[in-house]
Amino acid sequence: MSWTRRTRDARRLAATLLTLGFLLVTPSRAQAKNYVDTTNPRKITVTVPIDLIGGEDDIAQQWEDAIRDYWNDGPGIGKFEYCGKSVKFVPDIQPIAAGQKGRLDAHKIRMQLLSPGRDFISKVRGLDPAKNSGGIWGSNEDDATIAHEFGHLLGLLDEYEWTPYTDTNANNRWESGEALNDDKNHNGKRDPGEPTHPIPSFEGSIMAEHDGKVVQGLIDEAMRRHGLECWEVTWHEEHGIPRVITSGDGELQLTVGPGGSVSGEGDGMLSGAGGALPYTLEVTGTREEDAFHLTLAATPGGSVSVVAPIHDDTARGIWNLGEAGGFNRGTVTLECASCVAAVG
Amino acid sequence: MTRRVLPVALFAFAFVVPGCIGGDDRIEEEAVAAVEGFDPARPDSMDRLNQVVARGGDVISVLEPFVAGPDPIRTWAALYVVALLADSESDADVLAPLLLDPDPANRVIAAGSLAGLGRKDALPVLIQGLGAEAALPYTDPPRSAADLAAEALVAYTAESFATPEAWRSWWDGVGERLRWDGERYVLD
Repeated sequence: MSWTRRTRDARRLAATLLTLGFLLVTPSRAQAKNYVDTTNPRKITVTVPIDLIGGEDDIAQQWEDAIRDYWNDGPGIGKFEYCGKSVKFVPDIQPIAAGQKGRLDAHKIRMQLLSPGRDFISKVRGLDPAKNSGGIWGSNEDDATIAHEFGHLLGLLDEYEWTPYTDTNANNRWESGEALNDDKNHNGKRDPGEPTHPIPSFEGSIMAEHDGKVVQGLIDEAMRRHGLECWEVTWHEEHGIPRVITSGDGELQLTVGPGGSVSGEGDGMLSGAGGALPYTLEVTGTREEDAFHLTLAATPGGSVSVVAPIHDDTARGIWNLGEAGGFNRGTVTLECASCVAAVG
Repeated sequence: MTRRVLPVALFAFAFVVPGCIGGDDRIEEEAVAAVEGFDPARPDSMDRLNQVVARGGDVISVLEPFVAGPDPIRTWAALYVVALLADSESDADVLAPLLLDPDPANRVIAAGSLAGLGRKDALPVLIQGLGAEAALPYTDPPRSAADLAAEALVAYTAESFATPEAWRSWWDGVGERLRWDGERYVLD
């Protein structure tokens, strides 16, 4: 075999391996645009990669600041929480020059360069946070608009509406006698002078109004749209069985991440003849389709593994161990707090 | 040599040259179609208008009849594109009549664009717009015309007043002495 042929074959092999590697890596990365990290027992971090096509560094920085101001601190509201953990959004905006390739796993937003005072309507297409979104944002958009569009990248919908009439008999068409609401000239179309209004009970939300804020309901909905579940956990344990010497009780909130990994931390109280002892309990493990596989680690104390089968929106696990220092028996009960969607 | 040049020349005549000649016409046709077909109930309608804006080109003259037309939806759609693309004196002339439009949102949209083209008569319209309760049509999130008016005034005058009355007072005091320096209005 000639040197040229060997080189060519080696290149083919390298290209094949590269392609194979690309194929192996691409599907999972390309589907997960927003990265959710639930491994920290006290914090959920949502990283949102955005390729800003035609954008510049100063605009990218300005928009990152605007998004953080709205979504991490919530002006006048304080830090947002979900399932007992603080929620942090990390906008990762990278300007992409013409002809430059962007990231596989980033939302693609094109920047339209505009002078101040020009009315541009920015848009995001594709509101599934697990898939690629595209869109166009005007360079002169204010912080409120950027915060609203970022909400769309989290999978959130608009919370305003144009209601032409009150469909009292629910037949999806206007009939004589039904009140005409937003369709002022009764032509069946939304004319430029016919504004929208916030959906009732959504007033004050940045997804409903330009002067709105990020409210807790948006955080809850964004977490649900990223596949996060929240379970309320209570536990009870007894030491020194059959003659109970001490018993411990407590509760915490458990976050189930998109991959089924669970994490949560809470406080408990151990009480007995010797008085009361506060302790912390950290819960880790996985949520399978039909059961939780959990490790409960108490500090001070020790850890125990337990399987809690899921029935509907609840799960219950029991452990009964004979250990050095006394018998140990306990139960853990989980109830899904996020299974009933309550948007708002 | 001839054998190499000939295919290139044929390719140019077959694809590149017609593309260049027909390019402007196609851009104009797409702009007209986007405005004529604009339906506020369909999200892709807004995308089409934005594509026309992003593509740019000389489409203002073909949209002028819609700006002055009787259908308020077509007027808004054309005004949206024209106000975003206007960058010359002749473009400004298309927008100028809208400073007297009965719709306060249309007045502010036109004035916001004209103010950045050095048309000083847009400033009192913007100041008047500060008190307007009208919403800018189809904005996402819904935004008031007054908000856009304030943005344009602050950007092009480097002034910042808290109330419409304060802006009016400022205009009464210095309006005649203001001139456009290419970026903002300055005192003579």
